[in-house]
Amino acid sequence: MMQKGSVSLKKVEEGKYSMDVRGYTCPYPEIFARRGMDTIAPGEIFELTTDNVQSCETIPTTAEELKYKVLEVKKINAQDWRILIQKQ
Amino acid sequence: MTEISLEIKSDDITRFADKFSLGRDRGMGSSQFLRIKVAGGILTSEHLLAIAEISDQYGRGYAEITDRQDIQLHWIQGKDALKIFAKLDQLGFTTDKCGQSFPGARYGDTRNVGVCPISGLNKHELIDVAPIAKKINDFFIGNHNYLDMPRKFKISITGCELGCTRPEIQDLGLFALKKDGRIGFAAILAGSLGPSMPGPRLGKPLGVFICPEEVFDVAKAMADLFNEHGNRESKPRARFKWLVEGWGLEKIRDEFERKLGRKLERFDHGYPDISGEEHVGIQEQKDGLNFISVPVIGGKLSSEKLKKIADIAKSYGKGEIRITSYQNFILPHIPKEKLDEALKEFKKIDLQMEVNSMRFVMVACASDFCGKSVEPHTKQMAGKILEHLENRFGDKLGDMKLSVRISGCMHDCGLHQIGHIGLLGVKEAGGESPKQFYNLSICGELGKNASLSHPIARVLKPDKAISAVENLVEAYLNDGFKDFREFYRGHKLEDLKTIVSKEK
Repeated sequence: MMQKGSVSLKKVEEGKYSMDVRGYTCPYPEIFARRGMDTIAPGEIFELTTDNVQSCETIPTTAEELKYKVLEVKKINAQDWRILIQKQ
Repeated sequence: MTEISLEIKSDDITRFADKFSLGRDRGMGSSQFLRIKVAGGILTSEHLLAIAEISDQYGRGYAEITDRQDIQLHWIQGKDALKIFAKLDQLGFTTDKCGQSFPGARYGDTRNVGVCPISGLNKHELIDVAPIAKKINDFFIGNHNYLDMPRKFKISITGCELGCTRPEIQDLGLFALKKDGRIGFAAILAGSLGPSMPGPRLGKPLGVFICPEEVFDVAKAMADLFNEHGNRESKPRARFKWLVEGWGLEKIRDEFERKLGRKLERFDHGYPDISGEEHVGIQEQKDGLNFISVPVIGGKLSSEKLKKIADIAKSYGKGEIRITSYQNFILPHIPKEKLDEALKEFKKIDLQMEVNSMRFVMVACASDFCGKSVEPHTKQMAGKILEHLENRFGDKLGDMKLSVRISGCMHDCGLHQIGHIGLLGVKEAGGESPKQFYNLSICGELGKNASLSHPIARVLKPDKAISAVENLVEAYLNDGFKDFREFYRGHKLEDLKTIVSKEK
């Protein structure tokens, strides 16, 4: 089943939040990412897990447009990527 | 540390997630495209105007008709997507789910059901398939049980005499025929031009007679079979053709009938006698009105043209437009006395139907946007080739049945493997300014003599590729063969290579 339903922003450590949007096709990971980044405070880190390759291009581009710092886009297993962004 | 979890607003996303998505572009400065499914290929003037407005607002006033009867917009930004989806939803449209962005063998959906665009109008059709296609589309679109198939699943259906929906290259291609005086359908399974394993191939005749009232159940059972047994371990092995090759036709038919819950009447059939042709020109409909078929090179239309077409449809027809599997459109329901005026209106926007047949059946993919080619891209090549041939041969092209098809890569969205003349883009690897070349193949066709095209020249510079096409057309015209297949068979491979490489 394609993922459906609520997505949450979890505090994983002080100043770092994660979000899992696996199963969502574009543009939804990007839209969730925008909402996640809107929620956290400047200086905090936003971590997103996706299995959609396209999001590894659109989300960093979005972050750069917002003047946020893209710390990492990394393939973490055969299916999934992790994107780390610091809100400025 | 106490776990803190903040719910992110998602009701608006959930509303659209099953029916709408954006696909990936990597060219022309576009990163995402919107592929609007036009169910049955049928639009109203209001639909077309609304799409033109979306294109103006979000897609730089540009649109393409695809060879699956979709309308595709580019330069769509994720931040605008929900507004666009809401508008499309209001109009009754959905989009492809574009699951190809996932690395695994999953998130496949059923693509827009290919339908004869003159269903219900065609004096020669055996049966109007539009209601059947609608039932299939309505069932699969947004159906959660069919959004995570191993890969995409392509269905087409036609009741026409031309096999215009190309049943030989669908996962399930249905075409109408008569058996013992009864009208029903035959099915071709698991054809595909893409390189995924086991490679490009024409489909296999299923060998059963399907009554019209059984078609929906057949489509559902076949999709269920694929959904349940298709390969989910490996994306290159995940298309239906892998399952069909692996199991063989007999087992596929047995398992399919098990899903269906009954045996179907055995029927020894092949491909349709005539297939893969386009409905061209001005033709009288069943009801005495007329339709005009208008060729669009590469399916490219500006939003201004879309608006004008919508306007012409309203003024001269019944405000209806149909789009075809060859990137063209058809304006139906025009009274005889209004035909000349309608044609004049099309001419004003540089759309003409009084042209050679080649214009109607040319197909070129969107390699400029997907980033698989550099200039000259496939649609540019299509324009150049037509201009070149028309200047050189003029009226001699006339009704000559010759298809030139151009793809930017092996995925063959431009159908080069089923073109009489096919060009396949090859981009020189590496370097800061890659160069574009084209491989040339000939004599691909559908129908009773269906075959994929045969490669005869490789890595041609674009101007050489154009000359090669010109040389072939010249030889074909001079030799006086009755069709291109005869021309191909009438020459040895070496002779064809000599023709192609002839210097001016």
